[in-house]
Amino acid sequence: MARPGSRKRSGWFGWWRSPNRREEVLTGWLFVLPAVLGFALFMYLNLRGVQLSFTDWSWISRKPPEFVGLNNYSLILRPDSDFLKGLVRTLIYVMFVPVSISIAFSIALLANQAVKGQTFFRVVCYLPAITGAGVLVIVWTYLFSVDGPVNFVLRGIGIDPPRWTTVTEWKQVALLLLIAWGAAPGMIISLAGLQAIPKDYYDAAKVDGAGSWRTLISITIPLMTPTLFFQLVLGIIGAWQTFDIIYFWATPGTGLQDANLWTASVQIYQYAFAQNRPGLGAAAAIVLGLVILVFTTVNFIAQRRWVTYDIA
Amino acid sequence: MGVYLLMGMVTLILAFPFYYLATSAFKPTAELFEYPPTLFPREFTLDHFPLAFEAAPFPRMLLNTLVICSITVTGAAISNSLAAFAIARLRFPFRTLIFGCMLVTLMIPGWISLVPAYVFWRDVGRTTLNLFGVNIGVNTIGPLVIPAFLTSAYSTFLMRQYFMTIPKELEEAARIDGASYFRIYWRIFLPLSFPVLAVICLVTFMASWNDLLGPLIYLSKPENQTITVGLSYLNTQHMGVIYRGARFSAALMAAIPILTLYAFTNKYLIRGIVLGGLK
Repeated sequence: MARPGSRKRSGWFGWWRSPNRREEVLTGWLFVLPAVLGFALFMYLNLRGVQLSFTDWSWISRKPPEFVGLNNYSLILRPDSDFLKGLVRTLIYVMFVPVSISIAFSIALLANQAVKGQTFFRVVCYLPAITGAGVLVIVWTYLFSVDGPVNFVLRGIGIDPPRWTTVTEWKQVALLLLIAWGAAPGMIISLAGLQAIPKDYYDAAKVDGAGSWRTLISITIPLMTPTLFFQLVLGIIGAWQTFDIIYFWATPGTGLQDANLWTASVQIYQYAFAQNRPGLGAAAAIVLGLVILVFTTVNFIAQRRWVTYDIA
Repeated sequence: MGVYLLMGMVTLILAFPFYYLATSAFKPTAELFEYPPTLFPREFTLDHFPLAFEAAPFPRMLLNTLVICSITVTGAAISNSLAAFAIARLRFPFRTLIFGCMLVTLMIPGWISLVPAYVFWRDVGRTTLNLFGVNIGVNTIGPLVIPAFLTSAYSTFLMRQYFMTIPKELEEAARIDGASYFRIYWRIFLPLSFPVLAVICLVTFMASWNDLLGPLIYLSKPENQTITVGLSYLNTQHMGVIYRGARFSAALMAAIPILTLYAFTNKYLIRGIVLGGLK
């Protein structure tokens, strides 16, 4: 059955005998060597992370990590632990992911219109992804300050503005508004999905006399569900790890200092470095990883109910 | 018409924070506290910049960030394109396994390796394991730039997808002419893959420029810090009202280089991401 020159016939080390194949195999291994080293380091660090989560030590003392069993886990999983509180707070950002995706999808529908200025519009939409959290939080702090432009507009339309920068709940709302604003770049992925929909579907809908609303509901959205699902999975994984904006917005010393805003990952950072309890940090990171794993698995199971891979 | 109205509104909402940043950095402190806030600066001042430099050595930090970003981008461009070329085009044992392993790393959150990575780089700094006598452990840029040379699964994946679309005939003709595989990679694949290479360089540059956690834990002295951490110094140590303008000017300094880069390269970036269908 084997074609001449196929690997099956020449066996495991057959490639060594042909100079051409030998060069191919050796070049291949050489080129992927950095990737293999990177993977080995990554796996080593993750296994070490599991091991360190069962130990107790501090960065300052020279004492080696001491095995403490499940002690770290019982500390961070106590009902009143800072980490659990952080985990629950992070849930707000996780639940906000569908809102972000809806925003990105709506903007993508707009950016997909064949009008002049389309390219410019796409360039503007991607802007929030370019700028780092540090810059954005500084701008946001003053946009939402007592005498800032947002309050000016709100007063202009007769709304008494809330205290965005002093009350925890309103700080949270301002943060969610920042995340909603920052959701626009996601339209790039939705746009890729929209452009992959075959034109035939729209032509057929037109022939059947379907209006634009009907087309959106019966064709665009069902055909976009795989893209939306992809964005949901990645969005939720990312939301559980929300760190930068919270660090800038709420860590000690900031004008807006507020530990009531700390997410799970900020708490991991606090344990591991600020509080000098790396064992606790390592254990908290493992718990966060497991939570993410559970959510991703549930996502993959639930997709069967709503993701359409082909429409008849 | 409705389309333009909606596009205009979205553009306004997305662009206003940038306009507000660019103008506020040059408004005198008195004007910054005025109510109603001024839309156009009445007066133009550069006073906030020296004040920001007092709080943190920003020019130095900009330079540090630029050095870190350049090395990271170089590392990512070399390592990912080599690995992607091998995985897309060369046949060798364990190829599929290696590619599969790389994709698995995308599923594991980086927080798990935070503490062990710090331990690792601290130990590297303490041992003689240093590169040509140069310390690459904690408190150097080693932990920030070296991983870039060890590929990233996302970038390799993106490049591989692109390499798969390059016709086989090109390399077969080159092989018959006696070109080595490295030569095929260097003279055929790299020049042809410029658009996707640009995307990878840009994405790596931005991630490195905006990275907060890495420099925060691995670098300690202010004069070695990056601009992103510099911004947090203005939050933590200089909270008085006179620093309002300084904060804007520092944020502007952090934003301008990357916005300039984006201005020249957005064409590749947006097309590349739409084509890749992946972020």
